[in-house]
Amino acid sequence: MARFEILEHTADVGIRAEAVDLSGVFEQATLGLLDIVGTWAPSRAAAEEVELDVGAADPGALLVDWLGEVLYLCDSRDVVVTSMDLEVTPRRAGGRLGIAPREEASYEGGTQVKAITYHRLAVEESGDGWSATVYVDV
Amino acid sequence: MEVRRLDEFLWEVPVGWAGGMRVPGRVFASEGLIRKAVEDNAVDQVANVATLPGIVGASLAMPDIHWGYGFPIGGVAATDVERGGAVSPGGVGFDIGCGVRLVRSSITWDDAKPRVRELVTTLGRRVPRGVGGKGRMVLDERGMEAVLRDGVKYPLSRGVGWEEDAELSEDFGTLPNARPDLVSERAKERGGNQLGSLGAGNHFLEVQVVDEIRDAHAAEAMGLFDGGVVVMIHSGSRGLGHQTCTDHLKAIDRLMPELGIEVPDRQLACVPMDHPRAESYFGAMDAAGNFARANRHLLTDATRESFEEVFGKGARDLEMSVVYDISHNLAKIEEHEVDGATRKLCVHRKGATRAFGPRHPEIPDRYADVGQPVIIPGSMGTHSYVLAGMGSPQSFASTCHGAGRAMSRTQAKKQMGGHELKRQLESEGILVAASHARLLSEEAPYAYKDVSEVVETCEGAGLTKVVARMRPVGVVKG
Repeated sequence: MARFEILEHTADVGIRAEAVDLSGVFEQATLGLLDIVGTWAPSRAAAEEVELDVGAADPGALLVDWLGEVLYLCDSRDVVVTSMDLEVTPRRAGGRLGIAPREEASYEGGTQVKAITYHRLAVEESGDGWSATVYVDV
Repeated sequence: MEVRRLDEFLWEVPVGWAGGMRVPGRVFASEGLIRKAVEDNAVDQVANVATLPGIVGASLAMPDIHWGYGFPIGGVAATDVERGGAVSPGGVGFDIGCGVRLVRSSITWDDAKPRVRELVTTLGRRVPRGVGGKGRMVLDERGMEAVLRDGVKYPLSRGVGWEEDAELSEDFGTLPNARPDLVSERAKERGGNQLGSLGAGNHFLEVQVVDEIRDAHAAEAMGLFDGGVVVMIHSGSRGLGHQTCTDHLKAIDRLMPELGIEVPDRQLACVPMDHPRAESYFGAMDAAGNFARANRHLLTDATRESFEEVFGKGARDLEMSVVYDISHNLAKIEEHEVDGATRKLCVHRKGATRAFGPRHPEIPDRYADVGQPVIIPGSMGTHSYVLAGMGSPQSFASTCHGAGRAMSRTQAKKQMGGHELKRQLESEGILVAASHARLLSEEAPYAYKDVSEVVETCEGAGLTKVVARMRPVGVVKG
């Protein structure tokens, strides 16, 4: 059941992610972000692996911080993500990401994301798993 | 609960629309525009902003209002600095200091028309743009500090631009209380190589022709004449501003439980102005605002060079003066009258433009008689406008910032592909240089409201007067 969908917004873009556990929902939200930016490239070989680790007092803030780290990585180093392996608890998100230099052609399909917002932010556990809603500023 | 009409162009969102409102909401809009705002969740956001500590008057929205994140786009909120008023980074947004600059010229459309394709191609080559666009000016550590502190004056000190350009920018080119030391290394790294680049999304540089003069006296003061060629530049503080807002918003979000402040949307996180964290945010925000102005200044340099190359004359011979440079994402400390007394307010403008009236001390002398120029971009294919501020006390001297989106990016892309849109615009006589045409239709004219209705509403409401209208002939997109 792990999946993400892009939510309509007049000016910006939302992501709704679902998965059986928290790690899965963070992974789906990350895939949603990378899909918007155009920096998910699982068919490419990683040139390097990087580790990210963030902590926050609640799962919502943790998701904003985590996605912010991923965005910063892609933006500041101009890279695509080739693989990811995440481990998330309600107050800590860690992961290993494969990255490779961004190729010119990949810009064609991507929308610049300025930042991750707290607008309508939700990370919730329900009967059959976890879901998250987060909006990004484009 | 329903919005209540106060007069032809003003609607009230009553206290009670959202829990915890301290003041009512007020939206400047025509009947058509208010209906769209209600459908679009944006009026709910006006009500949410009315819960900010220390807000005075009303939570306002301009006629280009639409759904944003936290604040509506087009939102204006003033909080009383000396009476518990708070600053909310979400009321400025991530693109701190984003704004518009208009550059005039003495060239007429009749003279420019045969060269317009060459001009747009040259601008496309000289203006760095797109998602990964690197800027025109490389900064070392000292250069970064200087641009954050001095804004437009830094590139001027390196011989880029004209001395008069600073005077013709908001705050005369420099936000004076900027604190470069409060901008994180991460923000400096993210934006360090982007000074003098357009960026992507709705940012653009457009060649336009003045096609209607509505206020001859003001137009003359601004150097605008019927048939004259002008260039409009819309850009912001790039990755540096985005990261600065991210950093400070995170810090303030974490502080909220300790401050005991509750807001209906977490993006409205805020801190009282007398708290050290507010001072930190303001210092960093002003620094990012300076970066944004310097960015548009360098894009002006690229514009002048392009005109020189194409028309074979110097930019001074072509009289390419800046008309004005004004931001539409900023919070500023200003004095306004509230309940008959002058108060020091923190005025947030999120997708709204400052619009000081005639004789205001903070506008250039040459505009003393006519009011502060307000530059309003349309969307590709539609008109843009130059307005003159009227300093309306009803809006804390604010007005609209553009057409305002009416349609999501996904919807806009479904309606037409980017390449098809490019062909359509070219068939209408609007040349397009887009680094990535596929996404062009995200910003299609049909995704926006009618900019003419927006500016006419602002005039009807007494916020600004229409000075001149321009039509686009060439668009350079990121």
